[in-house]
Amino acid sequence: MAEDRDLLDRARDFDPAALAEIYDAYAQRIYAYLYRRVGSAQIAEDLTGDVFLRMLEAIRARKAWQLSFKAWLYRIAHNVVVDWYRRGGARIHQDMDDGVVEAAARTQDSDNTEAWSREELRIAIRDLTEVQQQVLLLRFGEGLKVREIAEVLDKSVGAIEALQHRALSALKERLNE
Amino acid sequence: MMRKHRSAYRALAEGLDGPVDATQCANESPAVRGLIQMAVTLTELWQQAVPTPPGQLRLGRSRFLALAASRSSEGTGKRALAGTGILSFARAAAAIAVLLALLAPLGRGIVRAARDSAPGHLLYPLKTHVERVQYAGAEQPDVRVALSLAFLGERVAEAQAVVSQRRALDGAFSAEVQQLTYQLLQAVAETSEASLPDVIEYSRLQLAAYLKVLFGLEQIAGAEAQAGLADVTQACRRAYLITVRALDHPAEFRAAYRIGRPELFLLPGERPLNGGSVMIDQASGLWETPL
Repeated sequence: MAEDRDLLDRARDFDPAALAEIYDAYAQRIYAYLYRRVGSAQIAEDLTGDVFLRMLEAIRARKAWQLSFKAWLYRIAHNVVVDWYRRGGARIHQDMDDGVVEAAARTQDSDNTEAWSREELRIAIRDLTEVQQQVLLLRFGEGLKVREIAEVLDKSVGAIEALQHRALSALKERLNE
Repeated sequence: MMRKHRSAYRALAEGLDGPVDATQCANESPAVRGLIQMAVTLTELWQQAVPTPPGQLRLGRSRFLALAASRSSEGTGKRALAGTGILSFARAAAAIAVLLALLAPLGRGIVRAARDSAPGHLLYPLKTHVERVQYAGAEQPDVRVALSLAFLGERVAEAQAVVSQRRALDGAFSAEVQQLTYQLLQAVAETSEASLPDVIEYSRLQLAAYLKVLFGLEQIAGAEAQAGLADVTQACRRAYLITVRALDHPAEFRAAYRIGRPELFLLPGERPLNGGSVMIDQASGLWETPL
């Protein structure tokens, strides 16, 4: 969704119709991101609600987005997940990478050109650092640009580029071993 | 060495900022092409890995819109002035710096006063007028539900203020609450069939919360406020019971309110028009309990 300045301005002013439009445009994506982080559909759905409520509170406290609304919303989602883990939330059986692994298995069923096994993929992703996994998820799971990921994770663009490069290199190296 | 790495980071980032397709990155080095291929695979895999949310994200939407509406009603003062032309007048007067300087503080004062006004206050009609304008401008049914619930919440808060000041709640106030409950139920009925049960349930919970406050108020209200408060409580209680009944009979509820015939969906013991405990005005949808 291209960021519509008029829509976002109305959202800043708590226009319910604009906020409804924003919810409809982003809720599914935020849910998907949260699902990949926590591994439970039910928890991801609950946390999605929290993200949007926190968004309203942030607007009210005049802490709204400066550059990219999407990156700002993902940053809230990222913080919601961090808080959830701090409160004792445990990643459900299906880890972030398990979703990938399941999908990989399906892909392998239909296309035997994949050169790696599920277990190799599982280990390769788990071997990445937490922040590398984050960068890959935001980049390729959520389709954020490097600049947006930098905003979400509060790092420089150069740092994200480096993390992305190292994460993909490590993953590829692992899988080709 | 660092220079070489930076170049690879940049090449990868640039390669991925275009169409993420390894076959279109022929100009990149084999190493970068391999990484882009890995990225393409990851993208495809991640897109397949998310189940449908169990509640379709509907309850979260209702909560979000309700809170948005309540925040919106906090800021109605600004829109109040816009709606009544006061802000546009101020804008027209912007060229006259002295006049603007005089009007701006006055406008802000009116904004705050209208937003915080209670029944009986000079600016209170402005507040409710703006709410109606805001409601009329809302197109989506669930936004109208959220606004109606937010406005009802305002009325409950106002009732608390009036009771604490030991004043009476007049008939106009209870009629306003009655109108809001009807407006709410009609908006609920307008929501899509798929989300109707969630919206009914959410409205029921909100109404239950308001009733709890009103029941508490009845315990502490002075004699001067009892009659008006009873009417307000009765209106909310009836709306609450309608939502309870609607949960069991959503199709009938929806049909009756969508065509503006609330008398077709009455509570047990109620009879339409002059025949019993409830009378429904066909034109407005308002109801009243005969003495």
